[in-house]
Amino acid sequence: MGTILQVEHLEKYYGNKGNLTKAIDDLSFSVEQGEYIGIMGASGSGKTTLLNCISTIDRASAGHIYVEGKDITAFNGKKLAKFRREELGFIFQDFNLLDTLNAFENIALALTLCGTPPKEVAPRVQHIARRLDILDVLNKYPYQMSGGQKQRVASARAIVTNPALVLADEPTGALDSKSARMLLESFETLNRDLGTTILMVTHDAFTASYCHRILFIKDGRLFNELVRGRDSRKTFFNRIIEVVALLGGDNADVL
Amino acid sequence: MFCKLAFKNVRKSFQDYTIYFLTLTFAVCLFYVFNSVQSQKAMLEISASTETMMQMLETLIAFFSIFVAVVLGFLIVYANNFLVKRRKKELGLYQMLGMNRRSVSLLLMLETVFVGIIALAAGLILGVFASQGMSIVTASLFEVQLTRYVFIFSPAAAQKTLFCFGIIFLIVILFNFVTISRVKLIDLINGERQNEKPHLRSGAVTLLSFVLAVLCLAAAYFVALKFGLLAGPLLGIAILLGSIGTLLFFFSLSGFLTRLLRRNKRFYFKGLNMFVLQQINSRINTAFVSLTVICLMLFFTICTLSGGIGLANAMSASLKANTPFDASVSVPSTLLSYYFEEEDPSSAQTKTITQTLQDFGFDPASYGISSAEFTIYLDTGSTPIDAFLLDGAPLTSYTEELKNAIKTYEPDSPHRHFQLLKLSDYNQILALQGKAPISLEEGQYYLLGSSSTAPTLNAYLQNGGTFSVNGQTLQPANREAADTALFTSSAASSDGTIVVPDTVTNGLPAFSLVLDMQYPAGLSESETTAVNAALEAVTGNRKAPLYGSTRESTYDSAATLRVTATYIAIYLGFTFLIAGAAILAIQQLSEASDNIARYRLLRKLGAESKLIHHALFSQIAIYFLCPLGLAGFHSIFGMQLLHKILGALGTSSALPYVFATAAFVLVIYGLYFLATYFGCRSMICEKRIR
Repeated sequence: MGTILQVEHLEKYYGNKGNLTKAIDDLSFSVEQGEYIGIMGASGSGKTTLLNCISTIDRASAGHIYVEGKDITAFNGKKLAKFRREELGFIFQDFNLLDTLNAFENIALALTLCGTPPKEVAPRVQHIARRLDILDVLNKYPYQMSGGQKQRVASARAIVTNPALVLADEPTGALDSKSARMLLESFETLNRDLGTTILMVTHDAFTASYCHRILFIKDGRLFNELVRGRDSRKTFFNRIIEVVALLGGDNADVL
Repeated sequence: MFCKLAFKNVRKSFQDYTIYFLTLTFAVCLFYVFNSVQSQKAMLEISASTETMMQMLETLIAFFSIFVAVVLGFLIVYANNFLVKRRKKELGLYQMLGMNRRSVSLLLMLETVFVGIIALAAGLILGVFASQGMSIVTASLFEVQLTRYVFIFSPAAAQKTLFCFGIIFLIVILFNFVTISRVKLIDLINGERQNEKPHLRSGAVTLLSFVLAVLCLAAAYFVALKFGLLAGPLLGIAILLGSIGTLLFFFSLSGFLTRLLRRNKRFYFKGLNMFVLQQINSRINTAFVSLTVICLMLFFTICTLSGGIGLANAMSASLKANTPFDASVSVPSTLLSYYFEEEDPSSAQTKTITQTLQDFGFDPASYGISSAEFTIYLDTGSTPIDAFLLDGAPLTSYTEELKNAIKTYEPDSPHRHFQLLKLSDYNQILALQGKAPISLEEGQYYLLGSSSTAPTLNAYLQNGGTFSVNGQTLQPANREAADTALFTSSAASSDGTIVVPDTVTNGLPAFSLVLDMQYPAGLSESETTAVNAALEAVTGNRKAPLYGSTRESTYDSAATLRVTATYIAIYLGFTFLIAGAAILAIQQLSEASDNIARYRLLRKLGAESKLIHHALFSQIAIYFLCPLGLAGFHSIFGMQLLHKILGALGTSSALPYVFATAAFVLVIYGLYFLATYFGCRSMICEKRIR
């Protein structure tokens, strides 16, 4: 098992000399292939900034990010676009499906952007749709689908290109609890059966409890790390709650 | 604070909708320039007759200005509604923050006033300067000299511009009041999210409307081609059918294409093709009406411009050939009684035109004028022209054209008969023009025609066509109809005239009397004008049973027609063109700003900038090209019709004007297209991700 993602001494500053905000302050960690990793932290802890840096939407101030051994902080322009469409898969909180396209076309779009031969598009979409149990909504438009269906379509779009890394930003944020559970279960299946590496950002302890390992971030620094190991999800959930309480407790000290 | 907010909002929308404000400014400018034509005479050396022409031109422009103001009014109201709709969320926010509806309405009103003042001021300033340049154009069209440079400002035109646009902006304010008072706060807040539901209409509906569209258009084209101007009420139906066909065409086009292209996996699953296609498809539900309007506007522009300018030039092209004499005086059939015994045109003539002129105080001899007087006869018993021409079998391909020409000349009479001219009279006319005389044998005739009817007539002559008149059957003496003008006139005077041996006309009634005059050689321009003035004093006298036309007056009236047709064509054409293009541009710009999120997503999914720009380009290009393409197609048929009209007036070819118009339309339209594309591009690149 190789290292998929390696973050080394990552720093991201906002503002100018007089008023400097360190969104990410000397953060280092790595993700192995086939891992299902969660990143937790309160609002403003820097987790979204971290995700933006990894997804190359934002540029790091200092430090390096390696994906499959390649330093993506040194990429620019065309190479970035190529990297994004071939190595990364995105799942957003608000689904971000194109409302002009139906589910099938939304998934196919990721493939056509990669220049997949037109003949292969349909079988690959069908294949991934079967996996995620969305075969019956393929002909529907986003406005005709439920939130859970939309997010599964978005997930299918993210993994249909077989990316090295799937980045999920609060994927359950806009879902009811039943849909959230179904989605997380499909993530688990994808991770287990297809070996998809998933990096999920969340502040919800229940969502996080599906991960194998969780990084806690506070004020741009690594605060704690939890590994699920052989724990049941319930046990793991309780351990997460403890750390979250600790994160909050720290705040209480200040007050 | 209130003013400041309004002012800032205006500035913000200036950035986003530069094209709209430029169009507004340009519209004001156009309106002012054309309404200030009258005041341009300050710079020109103008004769009394030109002055009356300019007054006529001004009246016409004033009339068409109402029409133009209505079109511009629609454009401005439409564009404003579009802009307000786009700002629903912002307006909702003001209300959420505690502003009451009245204040929001007031804010919008203030903004409209700001926009109005800026556009009016800029447009008027631009217009004042443009009208200086326009004087040069006017001078060259009227063929007069620019005498001195005077800075022209027309208060009347400025007043009129302010008045018209003031009313338009008032209507805009009213519309805004209604919009604000009628919407619910929740709709304002969620305004952005209310997207059109993208759905494909059922295949049957799409196919049916597409087929119907094609049928409608085909029927319209057929009527236009087959019946031409003769269609009368049918032509109205053709226009209606064409409009309905256009509407159905745009209604079904995107659905039809999507269905077709979806099957072609190779195309559909390539790059962003799928995205672009659905992007267009998703908007077509509302866009098809405006696409139709724009298409028809473009069609109108093309026809008006090339038709108007073609008409103007058709007249002046044939002018030289139509005016071989310095002056001609004629007596139309209604006034003939004055010249004949017992007031019967078939009896003996008692008086000549020269005598009548002398009676009224104009003696041609005293001016050294050489003249030729002749009589034109008509045999109502002879074969009418149309039947005559249908007679020869090989003529069928031409008859339609000639019949149209005939109907254009005398729309009321069902048949027209050939005019007859005595050989001796004809030779007299030739001599006065300095041409060699012709001779005819007994039983022969000699046919005259103009450039527009010559092909038909020649074909008949070459088939050995005979002609019966006054109980005699005559054989043709010439194989090609001669184009010799009989008198000075703005239209070809020789059309449908037959020269016969002198005895043939015995006993036939006179149709009209004509006196051609050639002024002595070496007469200076001012002397010619003096002679003309003396002659016109007689012919203009209501008591004199005469009708006169001089070469000078013919040229003058041709110049008027040229200027009028050219100006009105440019005025209307321009208005329609910029109105159409501006509507398209505003639609596309607002669509692009609605779509910022979509393009951002594409970027996140890893689409390169080049690919996204390409998608945007094709999307806008399709929107701009569809109406233009169909309008161009319509125009091919519209032109055929126009060509028939122009052909009747004796033009050689309208083609150069069609090309010039096409180039002009393409340039303006292309500029709008480019401005829209770059505007949209900077909009979607604004919130940039690396």
